[in-house]
Amino acid sequence: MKRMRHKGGVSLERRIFPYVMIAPNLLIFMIFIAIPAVYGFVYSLTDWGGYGELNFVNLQNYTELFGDRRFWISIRQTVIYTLCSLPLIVGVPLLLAVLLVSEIHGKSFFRAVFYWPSMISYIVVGLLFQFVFGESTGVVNYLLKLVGMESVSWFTKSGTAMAVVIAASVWSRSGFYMVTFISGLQSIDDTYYEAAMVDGAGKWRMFRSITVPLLKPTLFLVMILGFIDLFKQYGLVVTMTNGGPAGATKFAVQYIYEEAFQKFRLGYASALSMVLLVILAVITALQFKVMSGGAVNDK
Amino acid sequence: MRKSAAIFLSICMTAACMTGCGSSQSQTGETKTEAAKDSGTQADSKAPKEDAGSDKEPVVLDMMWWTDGSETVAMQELIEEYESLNPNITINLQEIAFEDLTTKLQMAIAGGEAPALSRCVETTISQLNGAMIDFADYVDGEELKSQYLSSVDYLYMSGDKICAIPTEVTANGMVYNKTAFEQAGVEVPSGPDDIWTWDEFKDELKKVVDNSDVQYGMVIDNASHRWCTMLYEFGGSLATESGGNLSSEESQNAIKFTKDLFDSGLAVSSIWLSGEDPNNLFRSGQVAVHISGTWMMQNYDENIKDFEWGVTYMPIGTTRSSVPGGKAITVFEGTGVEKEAVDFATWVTAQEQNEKYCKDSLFVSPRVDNANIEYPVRSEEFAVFADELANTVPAAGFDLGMPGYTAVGYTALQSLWPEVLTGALTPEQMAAEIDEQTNEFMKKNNFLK
Repeated sequence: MKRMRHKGGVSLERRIFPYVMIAPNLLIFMIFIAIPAVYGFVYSLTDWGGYGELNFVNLQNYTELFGDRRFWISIRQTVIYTLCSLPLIVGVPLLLAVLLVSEIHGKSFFRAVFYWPSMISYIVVGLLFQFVFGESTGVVNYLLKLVGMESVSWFTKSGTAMAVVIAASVWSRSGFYMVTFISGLQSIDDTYYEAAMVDGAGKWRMFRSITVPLLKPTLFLVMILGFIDLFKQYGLVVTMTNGGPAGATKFAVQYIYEEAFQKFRLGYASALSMVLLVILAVITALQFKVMSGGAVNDK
Repeated sequence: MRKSAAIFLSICMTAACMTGCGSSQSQTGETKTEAAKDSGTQADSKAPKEDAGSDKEPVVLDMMWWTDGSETVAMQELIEEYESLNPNITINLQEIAFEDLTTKLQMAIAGGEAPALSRCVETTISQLNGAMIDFADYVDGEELKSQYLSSVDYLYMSGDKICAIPTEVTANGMVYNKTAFEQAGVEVPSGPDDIWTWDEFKDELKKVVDNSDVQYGMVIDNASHRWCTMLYEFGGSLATESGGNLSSEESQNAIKFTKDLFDSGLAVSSIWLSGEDPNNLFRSGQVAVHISGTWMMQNYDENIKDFEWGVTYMPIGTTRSSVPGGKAITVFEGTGVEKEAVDFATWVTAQEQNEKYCKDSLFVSPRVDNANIEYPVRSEEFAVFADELANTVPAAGFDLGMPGYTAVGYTALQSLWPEVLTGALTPEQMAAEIDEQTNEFMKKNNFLK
């Protein structure tokens, strides 16, 4: 078959093939991400209320948000929640994965059991935890009372409310990341471990010196995905605590949602979204830099 | 060869994606063109009601709906009756959660895909009235208004524009666990002349909690509409003609008394702090009193089997009051089926249909000619609610009568009350913050005098 060749010697089909392959994804990205983001930026310069004509107010929304105390509190609470949850959302699945790649009885059963919560939507997880930890109608407080103990204010004290939200997040996402880690662990060549065992290395040493370095790309992926997932948390907290008590678990996305759809300030909410986008982009870029993009041999 | 096949496959996939999008857009485009044509013709003529169904082209009317109890069954029966009278009309009832109503409507309107009709409350009208038709453009507006109690004008009008037609009115009031009160030997007021003061109520409630099976004193549905009942009873209000009024002595008394109810543990704080469901709490028999309203009657009548419950008079502050509310049916502009939607809305809210709807659903009718509906059950409770409604103070009408204000005042109360309960804000700070927002709103919309 005769092939068309470019001056440099690379065939035309080789040059256009990658673009053709990414075209469907690019199209979806453009329609659902890039174009709405551009619209979002345009709206952020208006005082649009959801319908009707756009009235441009220049940078007024951005000026206002810098003095919006409650927005920055919601950002602070989001950061606290993310910083507390991320180590758990990486550590717990990693531990489960390490245990479940070893030869143990009922391995498939346990994998299924731990994976199952990740198939449930955040909204249902929120309702489940509300049912379990609900202050007046929850199972846990009922059992505590049954054994003569004082019931706990799970959702009306900021510390306990945040702890329950973190526990629910870790419970619901660990299964997904566990599978990711299992796949990463299984791709590590056994010969490294065999060589280490011959050299007399213990399990911890092998984990530290072989597993962790070779798992770096997977760790990086889980950290990035987990971070973005946590930072955008919404459905779970809305159904579990509704952001309470008094904003202790009201994260940035819920705050933006309320501005947009309860106060009907879509222009202002768009400006808040832009700020959130910048925060996420900067932190993700930092993670990328610190972890060298997940490269195994970074030197 | 394999590469060529892969390229061909990729091109086909991309083309398929684009064709898919294109074809869907084209269909929508056609529909819109047709709709626009229809809209143009219908908007020009004030179509009389008897014209309904004369156009035999099939018409589908989407109607957004939520349910509080089992009123959907009553509405569905009426829809079936209407469809049999008008075979070319199909009404597609789309059930959604009440919490999602305004958001969904707003998105649909912004996307040019507004439903033909929707059930709505006063806050929906307050927020989306610009996208709703004026019924006066289709029917005799004065005649329509004359069919409804003047006290519910705010429920369906925005200024002079008739944005909707009311289907039912609600009144806030006090539902109580009769079994628990009897266990504790506490008698509720026997009539309007024998009503507790709020301090007396607090003492009696303590007795009930201490001497019955309930674990908690009371739940108040939410910190905005339902709490405002207490605000008005203490003589306060969200606003007056001169601006925000939460910092006034009367309003402060209401706020401080309420906070004390929570601080003393008599009122369950998790309802306001973390969104725990007050209905579940009352239905499970754990709480003595639920400050709620008429819309819960059917729900409790059907679901509470383990104890007796009743409705008693709200305690009195410096005055008595309730907060009226209600639901209505609205029609949106630009759908191309406005005329058909108006025909259905006027038919389903007419005297006979409305009587059936209210009777089957245990609702109070807003129609003047349906004032004496005989309910199959709970007529005593309805009488108490009717009395509460009759005693509503004018201040409530002022707050609710400012189009768009509930989105400001109620949202602020919902958001700031939890901060007062946790001590992050003082009552004075909350009042000052909400008053500032109220003043800004009133100034912007020319309500200040």
